[in-house]
Amino acid sequence: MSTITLQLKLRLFIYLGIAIFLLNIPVIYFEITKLNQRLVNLELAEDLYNTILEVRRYEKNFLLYHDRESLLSNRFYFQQASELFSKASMQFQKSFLGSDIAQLGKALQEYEKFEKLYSNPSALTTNERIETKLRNAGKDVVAAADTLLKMQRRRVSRAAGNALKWPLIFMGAMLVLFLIGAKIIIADVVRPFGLIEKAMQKVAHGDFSPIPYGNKNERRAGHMVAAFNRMVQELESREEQVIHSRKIASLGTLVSGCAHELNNPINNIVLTADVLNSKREMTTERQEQLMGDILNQALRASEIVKNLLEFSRAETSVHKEFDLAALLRETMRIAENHIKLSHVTVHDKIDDNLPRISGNHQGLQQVFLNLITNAVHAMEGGGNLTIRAQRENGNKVKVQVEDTGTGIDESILPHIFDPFFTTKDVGKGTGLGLSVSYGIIKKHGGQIQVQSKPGRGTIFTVTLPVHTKIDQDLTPPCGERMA
Amino acid sequence: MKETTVCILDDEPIVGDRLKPELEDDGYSVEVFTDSASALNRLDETCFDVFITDLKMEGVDGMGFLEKVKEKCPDSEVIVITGYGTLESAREALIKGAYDFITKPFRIGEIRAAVKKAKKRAKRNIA
Repeated sequence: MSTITLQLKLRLFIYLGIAIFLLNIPVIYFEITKLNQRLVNLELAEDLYNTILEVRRYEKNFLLYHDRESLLSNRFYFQQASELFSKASMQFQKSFLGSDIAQLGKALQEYEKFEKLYSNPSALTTNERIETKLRNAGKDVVAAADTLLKMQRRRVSRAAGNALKWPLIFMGAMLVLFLIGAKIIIADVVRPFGLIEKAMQKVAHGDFSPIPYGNKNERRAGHMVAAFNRMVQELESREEQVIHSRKIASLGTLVSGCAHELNNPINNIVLTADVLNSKREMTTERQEQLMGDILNQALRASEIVKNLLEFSRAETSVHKEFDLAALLRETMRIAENHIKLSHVTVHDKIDDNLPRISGNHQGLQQVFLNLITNAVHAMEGGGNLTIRAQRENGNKVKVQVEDTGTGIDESILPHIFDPFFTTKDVGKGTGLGLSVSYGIIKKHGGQIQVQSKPGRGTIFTVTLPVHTKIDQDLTPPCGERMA
Repeated sequence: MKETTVCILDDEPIVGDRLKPELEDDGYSVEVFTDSASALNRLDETCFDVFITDLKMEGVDGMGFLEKVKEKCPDSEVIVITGYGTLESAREALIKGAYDFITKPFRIGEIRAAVKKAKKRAKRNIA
C-alpha cells in the first residue's frame, strides 16, 4: 500500500472516474436508440393488429348479411394488413422476431386462401363448411397478431428497463468509486493533516514531541509524518540553541546587575584592608571587627559568584529533587537589584510547607526569573510584585507571579507564548522568554496560564506536578540524546 | 577658618564607617548616612561642603540626590561613587554637576585626594 504514492492513487481514481463516465455515454445512447426502435416496431404491430381486427369485423358482417360492401371493406383492410405485414416482416426480421412473423405470415396466407373463394360476386351464397374454415383462419390470424403484439410490448418494456438500468449501474459504480476515493483521501490526507495540525499547535507552544509513528492510520501518512518529524527534530535542536542564547542574553543583564553587587563587597574589603594597613592606632576589638568584616564581605562576594555560576552553568538539564520555595527565593534574590531599582515592592507569599519537587532546577529558575523580570518591566516606576506558592490538590504545586503593572491587552493575550512575539522595543526583548518558559513547563508536564487586566496587572500561574517524569529525549544538546 | 564638612551617603554601612575616621584625620567634619531619605532631611538643615554619594540605592538614588544637592547647595561639590560605572552614568553625573566620578572598588587614598581637590573648589565657589 505504501509503495503506491498518494498522488498515483488519486490520479488512478480520477482516470477511472472519467473512463466510467465516458463509457456511460455510448451505452446510454445505444439503449435509448434501441428503445426508440422498439417503440416504432410496437406502433407497427399495433397498427397491424388493429387492421386485422377491422378485417375480422367486416368478415363477420359479410358472413351475417352476405352484402357486397362488407366484402369489399374486408378486402380493403386485408390488403392494408398485407402491406403492413410485409413492412413489419422486413422490420422485424432485423430484430430477431422471425418465428412470430412467420407464424402470422402463414395464418395470413391461410386466410387469404379461404377469402379468395368469395372473390367472385356470384358466390355470395352461404357455405357452412367454408364459412367455418374462414372463421377459424381469421381466429388464427388474430391470435398470431396478438402474440406478435404482446411480444413487442414485452420487448419495449425490457428495452425501457435496460435504458433505466445502465445509468443506474454507472451511477452506482461512480458512487462506489467516489466512496473508495473519499475513504483514501480521508485516510491519507485529511487524517494526517489533522494529526499534523495538532502536532503543529503543540510545536507552536514549544512542545517538540514527534508524532508517534505506531498505528496504521499514521503509517499510511508515512511520508508526511516522517517529513514533519524531521522538521520538528530540526526545530527542536534550533530551539535548544535559542534557549542557550537566551540564557546567555539574560546572563548579560544579570552580569551587569551582579557587577554592582559584587563591587560592593570588594569595595568594602579594599577599604577595610586600607584601614588595617594604615599606621593608625586602633583597639584590638576594632581590629577584630575589621578582620571579621573582610571575611564576611569575601563570603558575600563568593555567594554572589556562586549564584551567577549556578545560573550560567551550561550543565545538562539534570532532573533532580529540590526545594521549590528555596528556588523561588533564590530567583527573587537574583532579580533583587532589578526589583529595587524599579521601586517595586515584593510580597513573599510562598507557603513554607511546600513539597519538594523533582525537575530541572535550572530550567525552572529560568522560567521564574523570566516571569519576575517581565513583571518588573511591566511596573516601570513602581508597583507590587506578589509571589505565591502553595500545594494544590492532586499532588501539584501552584506558583503565581502577580504584578500591578500595565497588564496585557486582550488582543495580544493569545500570542504571548508564541516564539518571537514581543511587546518590547526592537533590541529590548527577543520575544523568546515566555515561549521558552512555556516549553520548559510543558516538559515538566505542567501548565502555564495568564490572566490580565489592562491597566490593573497580570497574573502568571504555573502549575507543576510534584513528581515530574521528564522524557529522556529532552536533555539539551550536549547530553546524549536518546532516539 | 571654618571646618570643611563632608557628607557620606552609601547604603553599604562599611563605606561610611571606614571613610569617616580617615577623613576626620584630614581635618574634616564628617557625617555618614546609609539611606537617602535621612540624608535629604539633613540636607534641608544644612549644606555640606562636599558630598560623597553612591549611585544605586533604594528610594531616591544617587542621581536624584545629586540633583537635589545641586539645587539646594549650588556651591557644594559632589563626588559620585558607584559599583557599576558606565560611560553613560558617568556622563550623566558630570552633566548634572558632579565634581568627580569614582568607581568601586576604590582605595581610601583616592577618596582623600578627591575630597581635598573638591574642598578647594568648593571654597573657591564660596569666595
